[in-house]
Amino acid sequence: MEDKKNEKKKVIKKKGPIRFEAIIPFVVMVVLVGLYTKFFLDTHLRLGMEKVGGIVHGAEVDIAEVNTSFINGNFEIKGIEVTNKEQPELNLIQIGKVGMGMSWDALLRGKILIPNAGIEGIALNHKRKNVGEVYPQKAPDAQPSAAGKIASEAKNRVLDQSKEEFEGNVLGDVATVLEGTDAKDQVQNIRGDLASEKRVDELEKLLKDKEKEWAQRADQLKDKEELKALQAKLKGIKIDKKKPWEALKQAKVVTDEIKNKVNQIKNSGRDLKNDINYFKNSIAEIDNLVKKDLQDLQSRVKLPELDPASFAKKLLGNMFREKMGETMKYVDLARKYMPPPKDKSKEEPKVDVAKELSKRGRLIKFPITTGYPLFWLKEAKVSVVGEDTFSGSLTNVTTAPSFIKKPAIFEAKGDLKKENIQGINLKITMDHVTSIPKEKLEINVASVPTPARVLSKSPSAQLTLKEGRATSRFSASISGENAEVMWNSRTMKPEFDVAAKNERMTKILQSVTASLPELTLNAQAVGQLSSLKWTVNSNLGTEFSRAIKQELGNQVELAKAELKQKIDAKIGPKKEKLLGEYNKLKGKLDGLLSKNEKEADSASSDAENSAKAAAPTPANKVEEVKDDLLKKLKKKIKF
Amino acid sequence: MILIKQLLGLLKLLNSETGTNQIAAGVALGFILGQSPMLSLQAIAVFVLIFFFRIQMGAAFLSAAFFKLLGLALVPLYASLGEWVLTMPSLESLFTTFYNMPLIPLTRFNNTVVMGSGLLGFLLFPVIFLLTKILVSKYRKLIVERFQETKIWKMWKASAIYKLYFNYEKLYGR
Repeated sequence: MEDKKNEKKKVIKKKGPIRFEAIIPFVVMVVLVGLYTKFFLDTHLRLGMEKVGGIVHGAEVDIAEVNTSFINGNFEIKGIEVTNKEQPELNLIQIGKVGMGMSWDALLRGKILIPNAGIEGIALNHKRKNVGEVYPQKAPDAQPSAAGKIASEAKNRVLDQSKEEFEGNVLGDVATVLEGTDAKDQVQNIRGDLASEKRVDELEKLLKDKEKEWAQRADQLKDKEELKALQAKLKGIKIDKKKPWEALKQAKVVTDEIKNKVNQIKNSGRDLKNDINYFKNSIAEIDNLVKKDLQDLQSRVKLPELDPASFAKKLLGNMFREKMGETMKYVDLARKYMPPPKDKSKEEPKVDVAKELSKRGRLIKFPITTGYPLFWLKEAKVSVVGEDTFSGSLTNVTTAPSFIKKPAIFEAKGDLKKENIQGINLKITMDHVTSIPKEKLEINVASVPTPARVLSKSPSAQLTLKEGRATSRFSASISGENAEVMWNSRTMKPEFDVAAKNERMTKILQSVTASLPELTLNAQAVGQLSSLKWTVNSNLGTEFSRAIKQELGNQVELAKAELKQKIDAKIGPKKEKLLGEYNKLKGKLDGLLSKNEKEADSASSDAENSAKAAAPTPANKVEEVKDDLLKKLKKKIKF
Repeated sequence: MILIKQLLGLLKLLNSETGTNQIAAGVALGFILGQSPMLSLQAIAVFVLIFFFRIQMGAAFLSAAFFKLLGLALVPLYASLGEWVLTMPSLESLFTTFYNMPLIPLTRFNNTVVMGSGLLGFLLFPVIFLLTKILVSKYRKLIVERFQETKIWKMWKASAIYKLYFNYEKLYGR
């Protein structure tokens, strides 16, 4: 009986339209997620960031607090401390607060917009409360990251092109000369082939081959049988008085043929002339090879360039080169992650539009009145706490600069007293709004500590600039592939470490370095990024140049002259002989070619005259018609 | 597993005397689902409806798969319809407003195929619903009732296995 009652109850129980058995677990899950977010998410995020940060950095990373607000789209991290791996009792960097708010309006469009962000309370090398843990280091990753690859490629692109220009050991070379090795003797002992000599021999051989080829081509031009045949054909055209136009037609065809032939002869002659003249350029190139040989030999016998610019370039140029490389590293990274719009004129044609349309449809674009790029950091404030007064702002960092039509700017100024840097004033502008990206960097520092740096190192002489203080002004303006970079630096009361085997060299090094009240460096790199023109000037270069010239007298200049003489003696006669042979051959061929041209011209004008003669003039024609009509009239009236 | 259970549920419901609206709503919503891109706002909305309301899930997914395949052949038609609607000058300001609103662009309404198929989907929703209802009733009357009159079915109903199954269903089935 009870079973039947239950059965009835089961049948009567009707389920409503809402699936409560699904909604209730869903709501429970949402509530649980909400509770987790409210009470545990921040803690777990903090622990996760500490763990991941520690693994990535290789030493303890501490975070005091993480606050997230899903409703307001806010995210805040307080008290970040990154342990210094070398000195675990210090923090490498310490940040008081990092905060940012995201716009929900953008998030609902699947974009990230950060209207305001702040990085406050930055401090470097502050003492930690507890000594930080340093984790055992893993072997570095053999494969660099994408950004790392771009950065190193960009750096190498600039550094490699100027490597040779800044290489060499100028003081070592001077020391070698001062050590008593007579430069002139060294020059006398040079053995080996010269590139210019090799080239002269090659050209001599080539000229012999060319002589045969050119003679053959000239002979072909001399052969005018075909032209003569055409001329005879033209003369042989007979004029039928009843049909004079037929003859005219034939004459025109033959005249055109003659003209074509003449043009052919002329063009072949012109090609031959160009070929002959081009060979002269090859001979002229020998002078450049001679210059290069001279430079090579100078470096082989270690004859130093004694002009101030060469000294400055060899001693201090690498410092500028490195700065330039660092700049390009960041410029290329910015161009990669904040890409300028593509040049529409260079856009590749789209592939099979019809096929694409049939598959996915066409996207109709409507005007954007309220839109955002994928990522847009509108403004971020940066400030350093404590004794330091350094602060700045970063604006408009975005993945689509052309969309927001504003350049990204990082501006900062102040002092970093703990680091002993005063009067920092920097402005970096990344204008990627148009298809030609433009970057402008201006970094001025009133006083900055400079680390010790080896300026020249060789077994015979060594010069090291000791730690000091300098003022620095670096500016770079890069537009597309063109750059103009300047660096002016003044090191006050510079101190040097000098060492040389030779006493004379030691004296020079000591006197020059002691006489400098300041060390100036004015460097510039201008032009296309792939072929920059580097200029480096420094009072150190000027002083060294003066002192060494004084010491060596004209010893180096004499050796250079000797070297030049040696090359000239080897190359001069051979070059003269080659040039003589060439001129002789050219004279002969030029005469032949101009004679041919004249003959061809006269054949052409003859043909034209003959054709004109064959054509009846309008006056003749009128006379002929008049005579015919008169004859017919006389017959009719039987006169 | 859930899908197989739902499909078996559909077969059972189809052959019962109730649930016509559930099946019809499932097929009609499946039709919209079949016309929409998988990762779009409208697809999520349909999923939510199917999940929260007592709509036959098996019918919905089966219909979605069927109309998805059918839709592949109709892409040119959808594209033409969408192109016509999206380029109507009178609707330009409305679409511009939609284009700049939050969430709405996630429907990908500005794609000609999505617009064409979506429009057809929503317009034909009531038609599909009513048509399915009629077809289910007809099926039950013309096929199920006749089949239940056959000797085979009567023999099957009188068998011990069926009785065992019937008792099992009574005890554990929903």
